[in-house]
Amino acid sequence: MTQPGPLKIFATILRPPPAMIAAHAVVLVWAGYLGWLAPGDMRAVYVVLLLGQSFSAATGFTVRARRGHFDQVLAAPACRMVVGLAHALVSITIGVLTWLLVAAIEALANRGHVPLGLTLPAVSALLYMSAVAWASALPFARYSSGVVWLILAIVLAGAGKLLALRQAYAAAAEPGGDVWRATGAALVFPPLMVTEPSAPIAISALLLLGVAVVVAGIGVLAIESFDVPLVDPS
Amino acid sequence: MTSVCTLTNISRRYGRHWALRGVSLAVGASEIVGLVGPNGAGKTSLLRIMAGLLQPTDGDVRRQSSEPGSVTYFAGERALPPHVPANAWLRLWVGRSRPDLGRRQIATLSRGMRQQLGLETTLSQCSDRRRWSLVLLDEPWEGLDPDAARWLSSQLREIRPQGASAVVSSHRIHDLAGVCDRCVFLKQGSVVDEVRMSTSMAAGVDRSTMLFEAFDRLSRAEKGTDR
Repeated sequence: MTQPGPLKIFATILRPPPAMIAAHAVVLVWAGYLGWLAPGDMRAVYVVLLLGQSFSAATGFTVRARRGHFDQVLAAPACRMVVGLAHALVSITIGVLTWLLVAAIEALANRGHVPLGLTLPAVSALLYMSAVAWASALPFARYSSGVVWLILAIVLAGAGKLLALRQAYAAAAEPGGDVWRATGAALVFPPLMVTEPSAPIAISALLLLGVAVVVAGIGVLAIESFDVPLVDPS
Repeated sequence: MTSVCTLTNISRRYGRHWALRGVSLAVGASEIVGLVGPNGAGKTSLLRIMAGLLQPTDGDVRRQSSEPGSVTYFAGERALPPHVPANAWLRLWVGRSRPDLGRRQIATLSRGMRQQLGLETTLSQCSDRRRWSLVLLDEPWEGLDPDAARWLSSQLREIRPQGASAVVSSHRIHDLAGVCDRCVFLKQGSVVDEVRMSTSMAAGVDRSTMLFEAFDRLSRAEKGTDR
C-alpha cells in the first residue's frame, strides 16, 4: 500500500479527544439556542470559541515527536515544510469547523445578514488565535498554550487591564483614534475584535492576519529544522 | 555495488557526549545489515540519522531515492501513538482492520501485540518493495512470541529479492544471524568489527556461532577497556 499523506497521518494521530468534541458540540447547541432567543448577538459564542481554539489548536509537536509518534511522517525524504503545514492545518480544523457552523447558524437566524463570524475582524481574530495557539504549543504538550492564554486572561481581568485594553481598542473608533494602540490591544486579547465590532478595525484586522501568517511560518520553519532524538516515555 | 544509503564519517554529539564518531557505512541494494552492540553503542542514533530524523554533527548522508516513503523506520512499540485506536492505525497504513482489536486503543494492547502492529504497518509500506527502498528497524524482535518472531524473520527475508534493503538493530544474535547478509558491530559510537555471512558459509561455520564469537570479542575488548 502506498504511504498515506501527512494530512491523513496527522488526522489520525491528532484526532481530538471525545471531551473536546463534546465541548464543541455543546457550543453548537448553545449557538442554536442563542440564534433562536437573541439572533442579533452571538458575540459570547465566538469569544468562547476563541478560548476553545486556544486549547484545541494547541496539539503540541516536540513531546510527541521525541516519543517517536511522528517518525513515519518525518522520516526522509519527506518534505518537512509540507509536514509542518499539514500539522498546522489538522490542529486548527476542529475550531475552524465549529466557527463556520456557528456562523451558518447565525446567518440562518438573521435571515441572510452577514454573520459576525464571517466579518474580517472576526476571521482575523480566529486565524490569529489559531496560529498563535498552534505555534506556541509546538515545543510543549497538548493544550499548553490554551492554559497559558487562560491564565493570561484571568491575570488581565484580575488586574483590571482588560477594561483598559477594551477602551484602547474602542477608542480607535473615534476620529483620530490610535489604530496602533487598538492593534496592540487586539494582539494581547483578540476577542476584542469580536466584542467591539463597531471600532474601525480593517487595518487592525489586516495587521492581525499578517502576524498570524508570520507566526504560522515560524512554526512551520521550526518543524522543518527540528531534530528528533528519541526519548523513552518511561 | 550501488548503495541505497551511504554514511560517510558520521559523528553525532548530544551536549558533551559523542554518541557516534566517524561512522561510515554503505547499505547495498537488496542487502540486510544487522547492527550489533552493547547498550549505548549508538545503534538508535545511527538508525535515526539514516532515517533523516536526526542530523549528524559531522559527516554526510546520501540516500539513493528521494521518493516519499522510500525510507520506513520503526523505533519499537513505545513509539506508537498510545491513544490512537489500533484499528484506525491499521486502516491508515495497511488499509484494513482486524475484528479482534475492536475499538481498543494502542496503549491497551499487550507489548507484543503493539510491537507486531508497528512492524506490520512499517513493513506494509514497502509491500510493493520498490528498488532503493530502505527499511530501518530498531530492536524489532523485542516482545514478540516465537510465532511472531518467525513471521518477522520471514518478512525480512522476503524484502531482499524484491529490491528493498534493511538495517536491523538487535541484541538477538540468533534472529539476526537468520536474516542478515552482514553484521556491523558498534562500540562507543564507532564501528569496531564487521562480519559477512558469506564468509561463515565458506568456512562451514554456523552463522549464529560466528556472530556470537564476534560479539564475545567485542565484550572482551570492552571489559579490557573498562579495566
